[in-house]
Amino acid sequence: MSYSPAIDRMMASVRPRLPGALDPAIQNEFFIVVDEFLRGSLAWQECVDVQTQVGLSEYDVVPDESAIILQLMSVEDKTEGCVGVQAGMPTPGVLKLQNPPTQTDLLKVKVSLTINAPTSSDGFPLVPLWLCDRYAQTAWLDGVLGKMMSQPAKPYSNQVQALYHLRRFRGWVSKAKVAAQHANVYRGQNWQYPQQFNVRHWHGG
Amino acid sequence: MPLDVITDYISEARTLLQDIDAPYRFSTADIISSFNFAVMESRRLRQDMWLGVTSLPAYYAVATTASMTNGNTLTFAATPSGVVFGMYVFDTDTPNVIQATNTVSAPTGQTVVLAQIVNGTVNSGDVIVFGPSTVAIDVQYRQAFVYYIVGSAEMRDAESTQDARASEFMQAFKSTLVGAI
Repeated sequence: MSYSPAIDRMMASVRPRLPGALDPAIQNEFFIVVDEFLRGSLAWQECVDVQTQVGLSEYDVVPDESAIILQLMSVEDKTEGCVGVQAGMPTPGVLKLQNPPTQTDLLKVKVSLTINAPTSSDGFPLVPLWLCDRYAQTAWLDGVLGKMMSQPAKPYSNQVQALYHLRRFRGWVSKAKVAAQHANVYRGQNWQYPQQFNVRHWHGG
Repeated sequence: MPLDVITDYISEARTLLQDIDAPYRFSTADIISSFNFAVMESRRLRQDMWLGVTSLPAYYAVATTASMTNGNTLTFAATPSGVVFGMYVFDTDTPNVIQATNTVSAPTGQTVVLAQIVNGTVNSGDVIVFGPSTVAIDVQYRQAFVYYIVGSAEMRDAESTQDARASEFMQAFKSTLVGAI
């Protein structure tokens, strides 16, 4: 039993489709599949608060979860009404502001994440439950089946089925990427008007 | 669960070899040696069976040269190789005389001191097997290791062995591990 019922159902679906497969081997591929999925889709995003200091342009960004930072998605200044801040992350985990701050600010740094070791005590990668519920029995199931079936000289080796499942997996990664870009809004978009033109504080007119 | 411990493999192999009454045609040391080779072969064919295992499990079989009653020191004709502190101990000829939890306390030359005093008498000539407490093989593949032991024994150039049987058992081992189901 894992920490997620969705992962348990996925494992229950994987085992009969891969006769002779060993659970540690499935879990090993599962880790790789989830990592590839998150790197491709950027579906796991988290906001981290960073307190700036005057004159200092580099800050460590440490997510709450045991995870690896993939990319910097956005930086907003919370004390200035969520104004966008120009910054980069040449080294993942280190925020580099383009201009050193002239005052103390609280920044909202959004980063995309992928899984990191250690796994849970039962060998499964640690990801938010909503991701498990949404993708364990769809994208990850196809990814694990494809990866396992593509292994040579196993009772469950099947190149044709492997291609089929890996193609489906890549499709799921694309769908997840679009969903993340649209903030999971149907036909929606995650785009916001540049915040420096925000007019909600204007009371005249 | 069947085939949990090394003695289960020995008795299963002896059943298939029709070699269940002493004196045995196939020595326990030979059977143990075949088992160790099966482990190595499984590592070659199915690395995923040993994920995270840095040193493969191995067993060592040695015959005692002196009886021991209610003691904890086993004596051998030569220094037993590969026996180290903490290994579990099995008497394959007098079952249950050595407790399942008994381990090697101090291997010193031709004697091995056990952590616990044995339950009864370990007879001179009893074959003692040293190694891990249980055989860490997934239940799906345990039977294949018995096939390998039997096939390996049948390969021997002896009057009782059959080449066809040897080939069948070795093939059964391989097809169980890597063949399509």
